[in-house]
Amino acid sequence: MEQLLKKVLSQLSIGSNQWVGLRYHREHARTREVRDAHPESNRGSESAGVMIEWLVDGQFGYAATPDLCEASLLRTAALAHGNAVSAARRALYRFDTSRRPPSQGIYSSKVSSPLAGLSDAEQFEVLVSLTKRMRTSEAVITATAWLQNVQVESCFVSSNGAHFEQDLSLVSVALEAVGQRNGVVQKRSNHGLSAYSYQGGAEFVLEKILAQQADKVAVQLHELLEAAECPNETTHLVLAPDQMMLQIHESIGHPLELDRILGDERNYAGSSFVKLEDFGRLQYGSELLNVTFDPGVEHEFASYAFDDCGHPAHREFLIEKGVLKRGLGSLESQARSGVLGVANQRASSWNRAPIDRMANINVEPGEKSFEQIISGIERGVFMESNKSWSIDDYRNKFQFGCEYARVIENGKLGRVLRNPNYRGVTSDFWKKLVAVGDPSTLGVFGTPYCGKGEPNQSIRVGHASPVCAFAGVEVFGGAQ
Amino acid sequence: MKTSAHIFDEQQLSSRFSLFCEHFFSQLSGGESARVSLAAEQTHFLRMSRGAVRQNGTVEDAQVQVQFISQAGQVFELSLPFVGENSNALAHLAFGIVSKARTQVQGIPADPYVNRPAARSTSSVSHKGQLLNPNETVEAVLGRQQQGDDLVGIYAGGLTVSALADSAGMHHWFSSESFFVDYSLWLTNGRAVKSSYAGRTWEQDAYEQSVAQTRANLEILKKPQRVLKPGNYRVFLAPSATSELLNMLSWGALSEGALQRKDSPLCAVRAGEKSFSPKFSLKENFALGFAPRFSNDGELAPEVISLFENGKFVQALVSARTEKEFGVPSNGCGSERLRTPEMGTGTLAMSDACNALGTGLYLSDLHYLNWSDAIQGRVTGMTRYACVWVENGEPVCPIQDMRFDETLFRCFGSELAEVTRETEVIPETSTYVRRALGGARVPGILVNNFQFTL
Repeated sequence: MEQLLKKVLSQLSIGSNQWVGLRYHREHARTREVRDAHPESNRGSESAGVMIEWLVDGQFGYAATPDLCEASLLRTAALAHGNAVSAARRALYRFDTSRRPPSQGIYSSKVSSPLAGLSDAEQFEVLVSLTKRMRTSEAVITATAWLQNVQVESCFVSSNGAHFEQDLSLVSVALEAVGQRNGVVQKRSNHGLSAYSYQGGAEFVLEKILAQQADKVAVQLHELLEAAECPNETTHLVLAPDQMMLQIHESIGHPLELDRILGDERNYAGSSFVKLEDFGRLQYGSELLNVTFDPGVEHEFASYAFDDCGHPAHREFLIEKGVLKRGLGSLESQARSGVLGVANQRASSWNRAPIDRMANINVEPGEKSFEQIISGIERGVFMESNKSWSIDDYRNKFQFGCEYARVIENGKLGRVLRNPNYRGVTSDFWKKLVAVGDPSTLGVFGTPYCGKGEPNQSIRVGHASPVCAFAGVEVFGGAQ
Repeated sequence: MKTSAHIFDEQQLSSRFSLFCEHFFSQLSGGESARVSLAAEQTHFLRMSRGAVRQNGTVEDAQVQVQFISQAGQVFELSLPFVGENSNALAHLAFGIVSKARTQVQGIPADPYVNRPAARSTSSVSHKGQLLNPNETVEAVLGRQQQGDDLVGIYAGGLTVSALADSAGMHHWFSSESFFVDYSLWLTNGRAVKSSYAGRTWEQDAYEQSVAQTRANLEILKKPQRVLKPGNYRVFLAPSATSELLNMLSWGALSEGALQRKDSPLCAVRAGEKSFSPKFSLKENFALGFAPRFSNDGELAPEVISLFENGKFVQALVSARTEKEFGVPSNGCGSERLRTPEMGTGTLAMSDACNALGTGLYLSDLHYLNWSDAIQGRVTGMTRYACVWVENGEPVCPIQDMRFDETLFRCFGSELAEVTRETEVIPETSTYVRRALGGARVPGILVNNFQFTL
């Protein structure tokens, strides 16, 4: 592919102060789903194409095609040029070629054991057995096991000498069971909606590990069917890493995206309560809060070496000791805002232009063990695994629901609670952070489904976090 | 000047699709069956922020999806780019897919609920449009009239194609040249009015009138906002806001499969434990022309599917899979989600909405809805854009956005006071992966005791 892209590039008449980049993206996905021991889906998909960007008079124009012959790419390049020219008169900002660095290099996900080593029949066997394991009684109405394996291959070349290639191997497994007893209906899964998502291979699909997860789902589903409603009160809230993932995503990740703060997302995903002048000053959370953008965590879902515009990716502190330091903004957004950013201009595929996205956004571990956190709480609720999420367009007023909870009384975990929810306001919530778990409490998760942008793009993100505790949070149960 | 904007020729695409299907189905041997679908588009995306161009580009895409069903009932689906140029290339592509599918189903269990192709049916619908030329779009959408506006949003326009064929003789084609401008105008105080202009023929005057009306609606938002305490308020939900609530019915509620698995809030309605208001009616109406009656699953829906009639739950959306599993006759809704809903109207004049509201909240839009207790039909979400405090029938000032937590059984049931006699078309503006087809026709509703929590 590199040779074809370079050949096309060599045939373009690129003016001075102009820039052209060609980004090839191929994605091969295999998805298998089993419900109650029967196949529900057995699907493969392949998508491949090239996006060409052309910078003219400070405005990028783009065009994209799945037709990868030379003539098609040359025609697509001409379209990109035309789109830049027609837009330049009304450009929001005049960029220069420094927004597209001439990076070179390669990146590959670390894979201990390729998933291709397991035959289709073997993978279905694993999924069938998992659904059987979750159906442990008549109370379990349905059990589903879903496995997705994605291979992504990308190649980027540009008129100023960039050439990098990145290959990603991605695995997601979702197990879920629904149960009903005495009119109570509950769901339990392995860590919430597709949160078990990693870069890697068969090492994340080991039958032994997944069987343990399926058994836990079944046991906890039965506990939920007998559980009391989560009480309505203002109390201590302790969140497991698989709910912290969502909390980080919605109330730290999105509000720190510079394109939101600059106003680009106001018509769709929304804006942010954070202002440009807040960087370097705003006390975002308590002094215990340390948050990083870290694209280099092995096996975390959104690791990479370069963003989709060639900006080399490095670990950076976004929030340090509770103070806001840096935004989630690309080289374009950094130029527009004058705020420090990261390498996060990413596209969901070849047919979407890169925009500011999250990647791996992680809360750094603290010093307390799980036992120390719980033992320090007289009364509270410990919640696990996201079930429901909603937050306003400025990323302030949120309400999140979890699958599973336990009451905390006199420093000990007590009875199980069903339908746990909590609500709060971001700018207030993180200041209530009173304990951060040590590395032994750390969980690493991800999701393939972060939506944003016009046109819309769904992209992969990763979130790692220790167990965290918050004081004085409003928790409540389901409808009566 | 208005010209058709698409690059690839629809006729050529149609011929290639038919040829590919011919090659593909001829490869099948005894007992094997298959269906083939096509999704294609040529779209111009113009992204705008602060009344200027943020990103400007064109995307052409064509993806074919096949579903192969072995004699034993094992299934493999594959989607891939549809870029073959000639008959030989298409034959080679078809041969390769069938060979791969036969390999992929070896050793895997049969799907007991698979929907095999069974009946012949054909249709061909092509909605021609008069679209903007990509070179002219920037000036048309951000023309002189709009200079000075803080306009944010997206123009998407071009050709979209959806097609389906199967080995039993089904062959359907649906294409539409269409556009939408999904936009909002903003004040410096951070408040905005959201609007859209959509259709098949671009009318510059009509678009500018839309923007002018949106601009006029900004006036009241210039006043200082009122901060309200959480609690129960009488509210008028404009059609856009009503549409957001209705969308929740697609999240597992109206699915017959979910109902059978006891995983739908409508289980309580079917059991007679909960009910909706006689003022509430809802149907899927493909006659609106927003979406094709066929789906990738190979199912063909009737033109109209009545779901609620005067509060009575008539039927859910039923796929052929659900029919096989639970014995409930399919009504051709493969995804068991709403595609082109139309809510029944009432007697309240839209122009009389504030008078009828009296004192309460006029809610133009809702944001980020999700179940807070799915099985109880309880939904949480936020107010957004032009939400206004109304006193004695007069709009007074904007409100600080509030979080609600309310059940669909109250909104469309016990607390539903009035439904407007006029409706608005809410265009489908989703562009994940590709430009979606669909849309809704929805009235406004007046609701008592709407619960706000934050």
